[in-house]
Amino acid sequence: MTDLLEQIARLALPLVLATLAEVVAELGGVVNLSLEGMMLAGALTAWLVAAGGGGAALAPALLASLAVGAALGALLALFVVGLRANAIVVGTALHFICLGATGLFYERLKGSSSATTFAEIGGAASAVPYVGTLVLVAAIVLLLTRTRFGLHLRAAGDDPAALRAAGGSPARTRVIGLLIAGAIAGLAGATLTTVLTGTFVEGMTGGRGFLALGLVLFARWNPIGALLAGLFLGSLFALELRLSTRSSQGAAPGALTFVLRALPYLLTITALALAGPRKSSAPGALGRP
Amino acid sequence: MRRHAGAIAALLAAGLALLLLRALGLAPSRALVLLARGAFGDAAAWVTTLRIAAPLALCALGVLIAFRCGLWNIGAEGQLLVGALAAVAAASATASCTAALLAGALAGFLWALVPALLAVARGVPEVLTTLMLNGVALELLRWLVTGPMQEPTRQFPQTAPIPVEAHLPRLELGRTGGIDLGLAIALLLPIVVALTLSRTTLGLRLRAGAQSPRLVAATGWPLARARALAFGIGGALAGLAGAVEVAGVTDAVDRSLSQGLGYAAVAAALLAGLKPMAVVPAALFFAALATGTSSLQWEANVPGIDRFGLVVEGLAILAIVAALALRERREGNAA
Repeated sequence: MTDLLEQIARLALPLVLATLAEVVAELGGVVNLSLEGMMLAGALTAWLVAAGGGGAALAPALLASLAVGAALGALLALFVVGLRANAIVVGTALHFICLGATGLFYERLKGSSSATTFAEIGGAASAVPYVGTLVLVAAIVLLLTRTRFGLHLRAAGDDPAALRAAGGSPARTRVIGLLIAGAIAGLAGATLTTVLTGTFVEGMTGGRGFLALGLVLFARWNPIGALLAGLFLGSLFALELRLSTRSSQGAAPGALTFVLRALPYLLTITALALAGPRKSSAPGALGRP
Repeated sequence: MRRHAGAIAALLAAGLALLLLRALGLAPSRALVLLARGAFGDAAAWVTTLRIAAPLALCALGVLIAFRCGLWNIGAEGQLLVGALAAVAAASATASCTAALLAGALAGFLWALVPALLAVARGVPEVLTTLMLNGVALELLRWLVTGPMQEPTRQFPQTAPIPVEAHLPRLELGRTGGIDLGLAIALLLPIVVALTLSRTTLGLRLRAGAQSPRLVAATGWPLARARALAFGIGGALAGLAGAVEVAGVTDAVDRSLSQGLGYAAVAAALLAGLKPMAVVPAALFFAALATGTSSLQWEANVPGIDRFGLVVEGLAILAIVAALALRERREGNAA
């Protein structure tokens, strides 16, 4: 039982962080379609820094992935906020760049030494990613509800004109929001290499970033919701993993694995269809300049 | 300075790409020569490039039609995959390439109709639904090629090859593998789409979907119908691309069928400036990049360089976006 719970927590970790990143971006009114790519960049960066360095290299690895994610967030902000370009187009382009560049580096570096995972250090260190994520979720809740910036961010996503009238700057607020979102996305990727596997594989995000775009709906643009939505999908992943291990022994049919794998996508579509356009909890000016 | 924003942006993208090549230990001038030779150096290189360009042009055309009607189709990848699967099923059942092409187009049409109807009837953002359906299509393919549609010996994760009679008619060119009917389709359909958009009432309705939604109503059609139809046609074109890929090139479906053609189509459609005739050179450009870089991988011994095409796709989109944004700003200032 603890085994299962541990597995769920491990699989949920990158999903929670990715959803949290998207919550912050979308609250500011910008859809980040390059979430998957940013995660890949974070995962590769963390691996490059941590490989062969033992437990001591993990902290710098996480910091580096935060920095790379924030840099990509800045690039997204440059185009979407600075040039007022369409976020869908820019996000798609950034995703291509990240996907291509990480694949390129992977091909050149594969076979290098692996990174130490938090679990391999053992003891208190193995709890660090989970406790850290809970602290981060709490911090984002406080940031959004208790600070001036949080108020401005939600206003920038809901009603930029009102924010402007109140003397705030929607543009500056969104840029900061995207920097934070990018950093968290990079961190989400870093958990793949420093918690789940210890190594980097091309395309290792496996659609988690795209799934997080759907999880935001279930999270209702709320950090606590991101935690719950991530845990839910993590449970589904754990279930699917157990079934597919059994199906390779000939016990469960492949159709069931397919259903479980397609379920997150189908649930998102169903939720979207039921919610209809711009439900109350969605930022009012999402996707609009 | 500002007047040349577009050119500056394009140069910037090319410069960044060359810097990346240099970082990989490849002199830019040599890289360019090798790229060109890999893509167009001999008949075999041309054939490989054209075989990628044909389905890419069809997908880009599909993406473009939806864009022109005011909807975002990021789902060409999924539409292509279901088109390919349907084409294999139809080809195996009927041994006819016409049936394969029609089945592919129909499957793509139906697959695209889901996000289209959700978008027009319920206001559901089609960007998200098409992305999610790409995931579903990929999982569907993975299941089918290891389950119900797996080849009879059940050893490999792929379908059985389609009957020889269902192959697209092919013009043999020495030992290059030859050019199949898919290329002709990919050259013909942009013309058809361009004429339809510019010369017919249907085209007017579709274009008005993005430019002036009220005009659609004035022609007697609800906006929803025009948009759903545009999206469906786009899906049919991507599905057709999948069928062309199967009946012309791969003969079977396995997990590596598409390799992101449907995503590259978004880049190609944007590079083409959303003009139907321009998707042909745009698709040729990205296809040449793909074959060029994959030959670079062996010629110059730069492992992983074939991923370079994706980076350039992204940089090209960013350059176009920057150029358009700067032009808009300049026109805004002038007004």
